[in-house]
Amino acid sequence: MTEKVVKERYTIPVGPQHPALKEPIFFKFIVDGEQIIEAIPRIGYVHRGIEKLTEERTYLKDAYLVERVCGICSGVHQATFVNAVESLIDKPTPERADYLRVLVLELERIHSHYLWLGVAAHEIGFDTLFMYTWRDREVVMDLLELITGNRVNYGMNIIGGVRRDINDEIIHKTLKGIDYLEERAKYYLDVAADEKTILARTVGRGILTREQALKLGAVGPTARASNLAMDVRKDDPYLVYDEIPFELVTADTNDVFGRIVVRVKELFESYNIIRWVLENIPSGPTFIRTSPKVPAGEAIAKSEAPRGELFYYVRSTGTLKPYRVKIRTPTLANILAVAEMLKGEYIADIPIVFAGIDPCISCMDRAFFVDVEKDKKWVWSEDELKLYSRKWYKTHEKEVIQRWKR
Amino acid sequence: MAILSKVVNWARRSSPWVLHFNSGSCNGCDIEILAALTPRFDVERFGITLQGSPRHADVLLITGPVTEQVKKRLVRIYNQMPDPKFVIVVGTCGCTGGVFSGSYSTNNGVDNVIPVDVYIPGCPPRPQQIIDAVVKLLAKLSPNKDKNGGTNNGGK
Amino acid sequence: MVANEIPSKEEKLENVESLLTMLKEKFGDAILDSKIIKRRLFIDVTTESFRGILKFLDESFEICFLHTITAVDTTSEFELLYHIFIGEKKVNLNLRIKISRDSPKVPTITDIMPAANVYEREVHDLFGIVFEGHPHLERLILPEDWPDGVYPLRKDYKMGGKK
Repeated sequence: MTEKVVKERYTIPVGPQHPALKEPIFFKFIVDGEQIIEAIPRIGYVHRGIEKLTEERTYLKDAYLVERVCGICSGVHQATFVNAVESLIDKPTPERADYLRVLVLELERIHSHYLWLGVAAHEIGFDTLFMYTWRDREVVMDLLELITGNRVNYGMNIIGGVRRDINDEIIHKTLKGIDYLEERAKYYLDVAADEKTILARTVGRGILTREQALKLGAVGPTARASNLAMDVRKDDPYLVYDEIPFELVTADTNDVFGRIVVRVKELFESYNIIRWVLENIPSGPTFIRTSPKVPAGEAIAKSEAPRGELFYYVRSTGTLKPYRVKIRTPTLANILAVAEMLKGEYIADIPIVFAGIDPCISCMDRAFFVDVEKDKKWVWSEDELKLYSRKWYKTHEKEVIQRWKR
Repeated sequence: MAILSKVVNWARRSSPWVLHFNSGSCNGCDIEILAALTPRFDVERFGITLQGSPRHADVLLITGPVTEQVKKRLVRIYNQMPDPKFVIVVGTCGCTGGVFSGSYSTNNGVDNVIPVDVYIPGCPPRPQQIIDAVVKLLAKLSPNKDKNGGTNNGGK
Repeated sequence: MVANEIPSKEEKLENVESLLTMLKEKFGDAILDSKIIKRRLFIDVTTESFRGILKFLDESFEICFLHTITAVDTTSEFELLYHIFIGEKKVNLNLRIKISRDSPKVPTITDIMPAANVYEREVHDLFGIVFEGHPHLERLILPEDWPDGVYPLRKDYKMGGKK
């Protein structure tokens, strides 16, 4: 019988009441001058009613609908949904299909991390790095198109397996592409570790302790950079991950810099996973036929999306359409964590700290600020916030370097 | 005044300022638009630059099915743009609502909210298709180089 | 917890079964039903006991992770599923309670698991279930001008289709 674990009591503070804004806002910031006292999430911007839509369509159509929850990690959404449905059907999918799914999922992780590196670089004003990473990313896009037929929204899965197969030529091209990308990733790791601007903007920023990460339900690289060793591929292996040898990457700096390092190091693990998959992929069929009527029951499926844990729950009543599909994206799981990270930071740090969780939302769009000292209220768009941030960093350069060196 | 409008037209044709707006898309189209800026596709060689403010933009590049949350804001941005202005819809969601059509939270496409000049279907359309559509629009703006008979349909 | 060690399928099943036994010993009648589907544990418990069970799990294990809270409208009642992951045992536990559709109220668990803050708000937005004691049960994802009292994920809400 385990001992009682003593944990710190943790309360979530509530900001002062303010009349509801008619605008959709992403965050309500309570500030004192330039410093953030509290951040209260609001979201809502991109709500499209997908969970309700899934109840009106067949399982196969839903597999294509859920891909579009997020265009950047569409593959993992489809794979997780299909996984849940397949466990209701309870017939094993062919091994070759599972290997191909892992291949596409790891390529997706690579494209997503490169995308994020470029966007984060852009946030710091490093547009050259943005161009480099996105140019490299095109190599991955070419491979994804070669394997699945599309650059984005691959539609690789059907209920019971995958839609396409690979041949030796594709394997050869993929391995060559991976070799090239590995060289590039080594370069980016060096740049991240040495470049003063990046360090000054990210070291010590957006602190999230391990305790906070656990309590607030943080996932993915955001949690792993706070030394929380949670990764669905290890904790609850799906597809072939229980057989593939790879390292779970963590960092213990608890800051935005740690989140950069975790993502870059994960790239190396993904390259190795892909090599292993291509070396060991068994021959055989790529799908099995399944009935469009899914047996009654309920199932959950989890995956490690590039941003963190993705969770699906599917309930069936034995008909052609699901009774209920619940989707919990990793970004939603990280919202409370980012609100906590922003406490005590400067307003100018909001863009990079927020980017640090790799949010799967088009943009932070609008933020509502309340200054309790000066009794002022204002709304800023994402662009206005970024402009303010850039100007602030230019005029406070000395202070920023000092803050980092401390 | 005719000379002035020719000069303005030429400038607009050579270097349109584009405002990108996401009305609730899955980001698929947005990343293909951004990819169009990067070295592989390099849309900047056409003089196209992304702008931050609606008050300086000639062209509104819009993705997504227009969620309820965003509708009023989209209309306001459209109204803030100076004339003449052009709207290009990128992606099937913006054309007809796409996979989200019928949802309680979306408007089944941009032309239910503001007038549209060019539709680019695709889920998402490739960066080449996006560039092709923008270039076709530029050609439309020029009275002498009418490549496509002046119809409204964008790149297929 | 050594994260790189992956338990075998048999070990996992053992862990699930031993957790179920532990809960049954401690909470007895509060556990109305239980089943293990593909090494995932689903237990139905009374509404009076679920907070106590979650508190016990949170205090017994360092990693007691809340994935999310799912609400299901079965038309006769609402079901609430609390999806938990016990890190030390690598066990997935899904705790189900049933509440009335006419006056759907349930105590919050944000004091035990702060991560529930956003998940309870989401369920409240889409189903209208009130989580008593939640620090701020405001709108999370529906539009600001969405009418009060209309809950789109309930089965009696039909999608209009503005075609």
